[in-house]
Amino acid sequence: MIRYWPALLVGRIARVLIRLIRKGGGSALPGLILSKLAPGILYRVLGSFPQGLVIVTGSAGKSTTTKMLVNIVREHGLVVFTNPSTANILQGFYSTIIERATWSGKVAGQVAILEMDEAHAEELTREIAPLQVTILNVMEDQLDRFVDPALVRADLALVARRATRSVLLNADDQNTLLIAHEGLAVEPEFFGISSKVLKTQGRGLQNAPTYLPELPRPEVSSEVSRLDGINAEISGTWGSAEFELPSRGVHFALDAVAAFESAKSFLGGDFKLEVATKALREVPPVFARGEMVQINGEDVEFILVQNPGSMQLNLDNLVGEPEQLLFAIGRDVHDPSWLWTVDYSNLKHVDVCTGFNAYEAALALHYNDVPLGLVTDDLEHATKTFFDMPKPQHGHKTVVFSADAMRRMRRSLGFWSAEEVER
Amino acid sequence: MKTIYTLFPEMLNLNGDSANSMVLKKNLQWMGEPSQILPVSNEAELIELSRLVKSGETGIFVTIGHGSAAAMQSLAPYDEQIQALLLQMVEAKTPGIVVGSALAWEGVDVSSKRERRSEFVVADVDAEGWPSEALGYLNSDLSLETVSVKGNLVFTLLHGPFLAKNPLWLDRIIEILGVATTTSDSKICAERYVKEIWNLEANH
Repeated sequence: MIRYWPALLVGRIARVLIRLIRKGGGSALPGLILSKLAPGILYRVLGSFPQGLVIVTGSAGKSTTTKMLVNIVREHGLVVFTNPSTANILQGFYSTIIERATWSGKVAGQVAILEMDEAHAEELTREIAPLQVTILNVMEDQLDRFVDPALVRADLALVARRATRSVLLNADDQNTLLIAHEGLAVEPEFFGISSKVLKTQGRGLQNAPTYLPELPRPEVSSEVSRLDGINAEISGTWGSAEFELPSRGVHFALDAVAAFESAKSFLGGDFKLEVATKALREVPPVFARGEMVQINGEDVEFILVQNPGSMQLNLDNLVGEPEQLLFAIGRDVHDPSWLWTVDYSNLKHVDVCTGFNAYEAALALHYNDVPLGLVTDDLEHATKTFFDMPKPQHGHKTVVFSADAMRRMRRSLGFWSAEEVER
Repeated sequence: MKTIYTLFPEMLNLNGDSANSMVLKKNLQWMGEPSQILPVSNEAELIELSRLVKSGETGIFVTIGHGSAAAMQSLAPYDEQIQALLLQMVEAKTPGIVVGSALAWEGVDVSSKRERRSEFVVADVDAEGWPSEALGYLNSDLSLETVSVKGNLVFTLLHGPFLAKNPLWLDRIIEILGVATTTSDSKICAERYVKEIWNLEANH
């Protein structure tokens, strides 16, 4: 592998130079450079882990599920290689290798547990067969790129068919049930949310409808059997476990049960319930997935929204009526049309509306009768205005943003390190 | 009372096209004109809408949005009815909007392909009595006109809230519905956001 050092050197120099120019940024271009100079390094690295490659994919929940799964596996004593949540495409994997690999192109770890973008998972698994694949869901997501949920489901079915040992599927998504019937090489296992819990969720899990006769729910190995705010219980024939979710919402409960079941499947006989429960209890929120941070001495909640489903679930789970709220839709939302598919009735007002797509967002909110304060595409001005507002009398400031707006805002707030900016 | 019909509003709303009905209703409301939105979600409702169109009913508008491949497949039993409805609407000059995959009912092959043009466009339009430009998001590989008009039926590949982003088109439809366009603070506010969107996307 020694032949990889010149490419790694070029990638690392590029990374340093970019970070000198742009504080807190610069992981994309070095990854692109490495992918051009040494495309084979990715497959060599991912194929080198003695206990294989584990993939977590699907439309939503990849970051939180992966973080939970990694925590559980690490708590069992294994050394895990994983990726930052925003580096879940091939270029991002190359960037992660630049950060983590030795000059000979080796990365430490017994197993690689990676979250992967749906299309990139399909591309990567053409070259390297994963040991285990977890598929969370198919939503109406990134349609400017994916065009139609059926095409996403087709990609994910290919990924599942390439798994050599285990496939874990969401029993409460008709799309993943269709994938289960796609001639998988291994018998899939299922996780889910009990009907009792699902009944309490007005809008369900926001999966893409298949408009086909409903497939029966398969027997699950584990399911969320109770959910009360952030308090969750998951159970199965193995017993039950209680823990607090990092954030409220049924989508986080789904992530937890997916991680739990994925760990149980991966670790097999070495899986210890009390260790897994402890690990789940200790998982902090993934950056901006209901994360609470301190800014100017006050609590601020960061909520990332990435598609209609996650926007709807997060708005539905807002606690009370946030007294101060900033809404930012950035450049990552290429086609803002989906903003018009969301029900904003739980959003009583927005103090500041900003981001590259500030006016697109403002137009949708205006037509949905959400009173708006400042509307500007100048994110820095918007951020300053919002954080200069006096502390709310009740609760805390709330920021709802898309990924691009999140990265830019975090930088402007002084979250400089790559990890803080990117995860 | 103006009535805005939305065909299968949940299924034909993959990119927010049903919002066209809401935008029209809001604007009529801002002008003090009473209106309602009615879903058309089964055979009986399609028959009733067809009857109204055939009888030359004025004061109605129809939105037919873009649906996923699965939604379109599931609506196949209604193909003939919807095709007939479109022909009747063109003939009767009933105003409406037909978006994306709904063009299949106009005889266009709209099967989903991933390789396509995916970007904001300002489309040139050649339709007498209608504005000469329209802004919206194009996500299509079809080599059709981006926006065309037959009778008073707007056919477009532009996704999402077409009427919200194209107030001149909205005003034309309101005029066809027989309502005198007036302004209001809400309308001015919406147009201010639209102006910024045009500035951003037309120069993008």
